[in-house]
Amino acid sequence: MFGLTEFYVNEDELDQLSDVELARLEDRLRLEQELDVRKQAQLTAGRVIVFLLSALGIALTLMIFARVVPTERLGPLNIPLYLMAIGAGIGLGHGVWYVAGYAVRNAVRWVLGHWPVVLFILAALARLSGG
Amino acid sequence: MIDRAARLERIRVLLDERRHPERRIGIFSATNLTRLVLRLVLMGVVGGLAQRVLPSGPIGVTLTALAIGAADMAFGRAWARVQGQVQRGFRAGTSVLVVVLLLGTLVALLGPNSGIGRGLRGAGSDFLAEQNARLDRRNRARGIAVDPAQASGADWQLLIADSLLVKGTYREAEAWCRELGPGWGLPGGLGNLPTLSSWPTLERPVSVWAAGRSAIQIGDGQRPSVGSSGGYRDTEVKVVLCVQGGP
Repeated sequence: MFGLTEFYVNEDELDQLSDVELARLEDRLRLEQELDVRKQAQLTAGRVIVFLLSALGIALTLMIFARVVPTERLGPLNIPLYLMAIGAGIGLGHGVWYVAGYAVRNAVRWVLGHWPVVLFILAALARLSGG
Repeated sequence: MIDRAARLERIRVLLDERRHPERRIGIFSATNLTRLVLRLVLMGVVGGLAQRVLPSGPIGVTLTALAIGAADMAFGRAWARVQGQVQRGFRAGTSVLVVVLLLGTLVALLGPNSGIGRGLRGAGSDFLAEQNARLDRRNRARGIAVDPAQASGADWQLLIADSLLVKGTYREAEAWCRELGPGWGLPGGLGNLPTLSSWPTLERPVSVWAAGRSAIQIGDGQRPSVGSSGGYRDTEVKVVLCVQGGP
């Protein structure tokens, strides 16, 4: 998926890579895990985002269908339409995360990876702003 | 330099997981849950200490957040070193647990009359009996208020104490009704109901003992039409209705 399956890394050459190349490599490996639906599930920050983006994508696709498709074809038994919406939504969610870029992905991973600290900061901010 | 070394280590782990997806740590795995618990406990302790030591206000909150963040990062580094061992430990522990459960199942299936099987079953039934007795004791202590004027009729009497309906076991109910005098006893069951001048009217229906270890439901002022034919425990308690001319 997204051209990641042909990705190849020689572990012996890792030390020769620059810091930037290592950061890109780590991002690429993480992205590969986050977007790969075939392997054993492992909850990582990126996977949570992909899940949420997919849910958002499904909702968005359904909204578009509701506007575009004639009302008489939107019955509860139009299974192909819903399957199409789910597929398109999941594809959209994965696609958005793929094109989000290295900086955005890393920032989101950091924030979600330190969620207890982030929660504390948000709670503290809410308390301070509330007096 | 430390960042580079840490990144290299992370990449090696990612590459290893890429080659062996089965080694990934699932969200609900014991390893991950252990990590989560330890992480939260550590951050909670550090946060609590920081809040106690530091002054309140924006500066205190900021420093507390920094302390929690530092503890979180330190824990992350320490955990990365021991994660493999923890995972292997849980794997071994799980295997031992599975073996013990399998052996227990075999003993229960193949040796129903063996000492272990009897012991296991005995422990189970003892536990059940103990729990039932506890519930019965609680039920006995839970009083049902009743107007004393409504607790007796021309040929029947509900046993009360301090305006509360008395509850007892079947044996106690039989004895208490006999003590009321000759001709007094428990009412018959659903197929053998006595003909009374009236039936009790209470605020809500209650189940009372009937002859033959059965029970009937009274309280609506009508002849009972709901009841049970028996199967009660020795310790089970119910409200006691005594009737004159009972069986």
